[in-house]
Amino acid sequence: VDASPTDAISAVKFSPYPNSTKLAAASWDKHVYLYEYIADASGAGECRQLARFEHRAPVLDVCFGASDDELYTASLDWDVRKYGTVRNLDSDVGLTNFQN
Amino acid sequence: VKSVVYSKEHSLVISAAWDSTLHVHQAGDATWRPVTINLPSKPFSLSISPTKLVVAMASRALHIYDLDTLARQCSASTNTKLDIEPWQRRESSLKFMTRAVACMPNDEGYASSSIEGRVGVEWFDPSSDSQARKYAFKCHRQPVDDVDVVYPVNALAFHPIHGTFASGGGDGVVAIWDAIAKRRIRIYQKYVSSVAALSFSSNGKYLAIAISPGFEDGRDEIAEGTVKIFIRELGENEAKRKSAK
Repeated sequence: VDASPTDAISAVKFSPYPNSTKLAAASWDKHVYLYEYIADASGAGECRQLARFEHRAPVLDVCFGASDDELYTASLDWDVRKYGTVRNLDSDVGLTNFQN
Repeated sequence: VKSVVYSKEHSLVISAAWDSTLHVHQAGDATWRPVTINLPSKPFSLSISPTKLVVAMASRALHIYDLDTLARQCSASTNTKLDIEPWQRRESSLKFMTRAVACMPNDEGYASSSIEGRVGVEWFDPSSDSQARKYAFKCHRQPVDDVDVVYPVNALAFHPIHGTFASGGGDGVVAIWDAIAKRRIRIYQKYVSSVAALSFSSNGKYLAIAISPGFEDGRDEIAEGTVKIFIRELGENEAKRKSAK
């Protein structure tokens, strides 16, 4: 994967949804990354970065929500956040803050 | 907040924090107040199956919650702090600190790993027959001058179709195991740094491998190339259980 995180990776998850090859990664570099793996006809694949979400603190975990366009993230600043990626792939749409 | 999981069967977001609490949020419901559940120890890893939640904690404690019961008790209460009795309380079958836990995709059990190169496989079913099936084995070790150097097993992931599972260790090695036959199916070439996380794609064709330097060596800087995500395309039989001879 190009554009890998720049500090230690705490979690990596493939989307659990059928036929989805989206991949999320959480890192100590305070970002969550969303990638999509696309295999071409020859079998060689490419992993494109779809989005990158900045957090205030290192991110320790990430998981997919009700679809592969929804992410929940857990970070060291006591927050669990929800990110939607449907409309704008570069920014966090619909950020929900579950203050713990 | 250490971990977060999502149950699509119950639309619940469940997170675990280092202050020894578990938090349950209902995804689509804005009026829902998150419920806090106290845990006996610090949580290290969460894993979810269609019906169960497994929480691996410090002091080798492990709680298994039934998601139906959990969802029902949380929505029935107006209290935001609840003491919910887990469906089962267990002590880890491993002697050392639990690092990772992963549920089987068939909803029958889970695997857990410890910092001392060992993986245990257990079944949910509390009957003594099922419990007798549990076992543990050593892995992620390397003999150096007649002494086994033991590495932590940082990551576990089950293959969604074959039911085999992958383990990733501090030695930079990823191995694939057959949980039923108790055999190693495959071992991959060592990576330059510790394996931090693993995940299979939903169609089972790809395995994502995240590597990061461990904090063991005390170095602060990250050397070039030691933090990376690899996607391994699996051959048709690569993670498949070998048929009995």
